[in-house]
Amino acid sequence: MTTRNVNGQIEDYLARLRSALEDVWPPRRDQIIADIEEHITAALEELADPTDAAVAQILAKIGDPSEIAAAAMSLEPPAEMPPATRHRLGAHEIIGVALLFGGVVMPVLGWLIGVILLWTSQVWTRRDKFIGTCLVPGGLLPAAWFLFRPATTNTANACVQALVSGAAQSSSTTPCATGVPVTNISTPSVVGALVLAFVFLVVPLLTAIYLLAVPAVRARRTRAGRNARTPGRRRMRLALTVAPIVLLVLAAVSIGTNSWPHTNIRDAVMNETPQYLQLYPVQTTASSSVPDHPPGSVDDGDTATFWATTNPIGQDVTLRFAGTDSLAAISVISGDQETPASFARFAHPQRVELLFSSGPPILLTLPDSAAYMDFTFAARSSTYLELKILSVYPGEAPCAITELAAYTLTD
Amino acid sequence: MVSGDKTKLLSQMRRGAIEYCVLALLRKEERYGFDLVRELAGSSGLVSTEGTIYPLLARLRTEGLVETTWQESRQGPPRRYYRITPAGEFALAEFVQEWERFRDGVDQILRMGGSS
Repeated sequence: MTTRNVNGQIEDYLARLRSALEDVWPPRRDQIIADIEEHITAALEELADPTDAAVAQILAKIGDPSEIAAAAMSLEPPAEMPPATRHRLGAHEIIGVALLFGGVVMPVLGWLIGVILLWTSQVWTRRDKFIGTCLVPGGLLPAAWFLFRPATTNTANACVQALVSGAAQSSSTTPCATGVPVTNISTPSVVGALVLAFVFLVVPLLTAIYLLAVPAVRARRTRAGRNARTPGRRRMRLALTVAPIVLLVLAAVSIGTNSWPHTNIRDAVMNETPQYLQLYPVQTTASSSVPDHPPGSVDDGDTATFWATTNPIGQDVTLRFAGTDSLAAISVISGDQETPASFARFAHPQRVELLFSSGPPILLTLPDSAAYMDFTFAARSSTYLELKILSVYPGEAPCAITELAAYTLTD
Repeated sequence: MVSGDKTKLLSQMRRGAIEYCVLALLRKEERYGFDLVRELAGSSGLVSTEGTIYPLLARLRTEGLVETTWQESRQGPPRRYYRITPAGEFALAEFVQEWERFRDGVDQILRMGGSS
């Protein structure tokens, strides 16, 4: 007798049994196989001399795997199958996924409802639900924010806001009149853009596709009833589960500690963001001014004071700088800022001409507004900024300008 | 009656009855699965292949009619013993009633047919 042959015979039998029972409900299949293994062991114990022939006889008495499989299948009443889970996506699921990504449309609330729908659906497994909840907080909201941020910061940032509110309340000083950038124009680097696109676009998109596709895939697998858990696939599923969690933890840690890779991304974006810096004049003059409202009032950062001139047409105010600077933007706060009534009482410039020591002049039409206004233009090298009044919005009092500032563009 | 149909009928009758035979064998005492199968396959002629009883045992177990316990054996690994549950006893009692009525009915008809 050869033990190896005996073992080989038994292993061969069990392998055939396993493949014959493939379509049986797995918990029951495992029981049957364990029982038969035990049966073989017990039968072998009875043998004094387990010869090949004796083992073959034991196996023959147990019966051919196909007979056992037939018996097992005939005993499988439909009700005994695992509880039928829904695999088809309904309105519930589709709305849920849409809301998870609808952070753009309904900021926080939409996402919350999406999460609730996700967790109340019977289509997804608990793991799917975790993936859906963790991976896309806000859905495409961050992506939208990054996309539209340049446009919004162009026209209004903290400093602008402060100036405007300061102007409206006629406060005596404006907190950010000193060298604070007026405008950020985001031009993200290629790497930064790719990373951001991946994190905020590709990952949520893949998650959405996953959530929408996985029930159908699972349904097909259940119907096939086999190969559901080959080692390779199990490893892949494990990787698919772990990878998003790792990404999420990394993101949380980096944002929390304000370190890599979050700051790298931010630096990549911010470092290449040109900024407008205010240029401070060494001297401010005007062709004329009324008493108590000298030209220096336009560059003192104080919205309670203003420069005023009678017969304003053709008059000018000029900011002179220490050297030659590259001018790329101006900001103006027109008229008197004390009250809306006083704003209306004082005349204020309508059409103005900007003149430089080199480069063509610029014609501007200012709106009839007490708000902070800024204008950007192709840079001009100049030692001064001259603003000449061509026409005014009329008022009973002289023409007034509260603030005028020039900006250069950093790179 | 064609022989194929006869085989089918017999196997269906066996299949219906055998799970109650298993329960009946377990009514008095719990049994080692191996011995239980040997007994069913050996003496009664109800079962041709031992292996086909295991799917049945597995189903009885998931239905809660029998349960299993592990018991140490003097040699080798621990053994799985089968034991009837109260639900199993109830199912068996029901079957016995039905079976007796069915058997008596069939017997009666068969005898009438034989005597005519």
